Amino acid sequence: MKPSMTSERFTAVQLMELDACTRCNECLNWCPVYEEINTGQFTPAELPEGRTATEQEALAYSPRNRIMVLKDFINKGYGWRARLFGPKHIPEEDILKFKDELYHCTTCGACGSVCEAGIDTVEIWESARANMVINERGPYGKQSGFIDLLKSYNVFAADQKDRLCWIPEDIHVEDTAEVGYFTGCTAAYRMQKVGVATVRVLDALGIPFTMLGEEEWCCASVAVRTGQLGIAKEFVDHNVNAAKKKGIKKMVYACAGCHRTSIIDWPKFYEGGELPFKVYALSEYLCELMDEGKLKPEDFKFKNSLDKVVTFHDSCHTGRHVGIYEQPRRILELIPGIKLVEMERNRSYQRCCGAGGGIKAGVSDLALKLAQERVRDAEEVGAEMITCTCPFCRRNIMDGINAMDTNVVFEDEMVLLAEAMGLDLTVPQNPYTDKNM
Amino acid sequence: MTDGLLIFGKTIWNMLFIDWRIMAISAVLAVIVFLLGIYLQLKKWGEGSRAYGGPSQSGSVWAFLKTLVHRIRKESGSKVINILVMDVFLQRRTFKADKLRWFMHICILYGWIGLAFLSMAVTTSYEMYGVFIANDHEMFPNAWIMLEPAFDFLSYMLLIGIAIAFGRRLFSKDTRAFSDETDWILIALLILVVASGFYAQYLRETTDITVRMLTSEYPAEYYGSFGNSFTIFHEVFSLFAMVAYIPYSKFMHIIASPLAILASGGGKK
Ligand code: SF4
Ligand code: SF4
Repeated sequence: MKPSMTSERFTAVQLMELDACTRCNECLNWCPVYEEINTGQFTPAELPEGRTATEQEALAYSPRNRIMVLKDFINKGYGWRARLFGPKHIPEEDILKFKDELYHCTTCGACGSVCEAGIDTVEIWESARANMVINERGPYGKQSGFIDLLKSYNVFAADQKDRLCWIPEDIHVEDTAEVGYFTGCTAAYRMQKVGVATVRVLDALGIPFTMLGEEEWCCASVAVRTGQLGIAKEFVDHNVNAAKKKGIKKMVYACAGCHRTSIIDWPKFYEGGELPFKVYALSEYLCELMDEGKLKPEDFKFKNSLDKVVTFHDSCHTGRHVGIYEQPRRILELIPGIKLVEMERNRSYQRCCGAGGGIKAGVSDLALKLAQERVRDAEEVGAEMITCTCPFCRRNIMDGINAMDTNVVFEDEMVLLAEAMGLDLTVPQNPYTDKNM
Repeated sequence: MTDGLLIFGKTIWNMLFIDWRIMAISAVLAVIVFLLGIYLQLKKWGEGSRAYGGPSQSGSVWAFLKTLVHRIRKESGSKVINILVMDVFLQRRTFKADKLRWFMHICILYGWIGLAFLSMAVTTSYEMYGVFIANDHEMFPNAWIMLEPAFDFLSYMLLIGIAIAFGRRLFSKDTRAFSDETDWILIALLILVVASGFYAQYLRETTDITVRMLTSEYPAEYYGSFGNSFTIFHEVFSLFAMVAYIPYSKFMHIIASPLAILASGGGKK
């Protein structure tokens, strides 16, 4: 008899990690989704209408329980009893209930950062999601639409030919260069101001760069995060080969989602496991240049003082997942007039804004609640502005701001930097002008 | 005192032989059950792939071990040692999160490991060597008496750890809510082992023959280490509850969690 839940997509180390959970419950103190459900701020659609979750129902959405259920499922198929007496059947409704719980997760990684057993939880959630998809149990809600959208090689079903339609005429994009700027779908089609700010900053600092243009396909983040891996290899291979053709040795990113996917996920799919270029968050690259003495603070030639109390929201992807915390702050600290304050939960303890892990598409009301929590974190420390290096966080936090009565505003870090440098952030008219967020 | 038996050319006493035989068989059985459980766990882990998205390794124990070593060796030797000391032995991650929980873990873990190793050392060296080889029946009880402070220290450590675990579940609403019957069963097992251990130790050391006679199946004139059904119960029960049962229970995390910490380079920061 085949196990009801197979071990497909799990690595040997992940199966071991399921047994490593000490049930210390530390992850419960940090999981933003569990907190929302447990405090009655949000009730999953799967629970009976008209009431909030009970303590035990909320617990089912906690990382600890997810590990326990997964361990139980795997044990039923492969544990010592299964070896001696054959796999034990798991009712399909139990697996589907688990699937719903599994997809109520932003894959923010807070649980993994505090896990006392060192379990790489995000990788386990994503393997479990991939397992659900292989067995036609996942993904969740509207997330299945991602694959259709990606038929056009970007998440907005936009025309690939327009990938660079927002580049100002006076910006010179090299044909080939050591440095490549990977724009990402959001900056290319929906937040073009971020794209313009990034190319303006690179240009003003005298850093020659190239771009993949039409050959830049979606980084595949939305597919990987939701377990829909069927297209991943094709997309990864395409992007990496396109970068090779352009002679890129250092790829820089102003989008945390693309950055995380490129540095952590692409090597899993790319033949040989090693990318032929180094992956950088843009702030990380600028700091490296400064550390090497190739760039000096005065090279930024700041013209404007921003005079604002600003707080930095570490995106889960560039922060917890990749471990870049200080570089974006170093860049912000260069900007005249900015008073940087920290939210209580910052760096590896940061509270997720709720945008990631397919939550924005799959459970949008949860994403909104989480964004509002993050805005409240900023209000608590007297910040006037939240900044970040992730267009996706930007979109969700702005949705949160718009749904609240608050004076806090949001701006992307590259936009702030470009504004302080006095750079022109006008986005040339293009077919997506009206769709910009 | 009965006549001695001749084993490997040495004379030993019947009652000691019976004790020793029960203990030896229990220990061997416990280790076999333990190893079988570990083997089945390794086979389960070996169902996973070596790398992300790769094919299953079809339950190969060898493939799992190679994967684990490959993951651990991604870090430099000095980093692995640092992780081993700071994160595995000293449990830095727990210390950062909750000092009381850390103290509880350290007390239970090291109290338990310490007692297990000390008992094994005494049994194999003084009992086996002293009685069977050196033919010195005083060596064993003397060793128990000499090591009593160490046994007491470790036992109290374990007791404090268990008391904290118990207290947290009694007085902390959250801890109680998050606990289920598995946690209670494990705590009950630990309590039984420690409580019976204290009494067994008392019986071993007492020279008061009347106390010993209450629980002893066999007459004896030496310190109460042998011929005592209660101490035998404690020793056999401890072997099965604290060794053989590990791979089949939540106790498995005692083995899996250090390995997970090593495999993840000390865990995410
Ligand atoms: S990744 Fe984030 S949202 Fe998901 S379980 Fe962990 S803490 Fe909760
Ligand atoms: S923090 Fe890690 S070890 Fe503790 S309960 Fe959560 S998953 Fe388990």
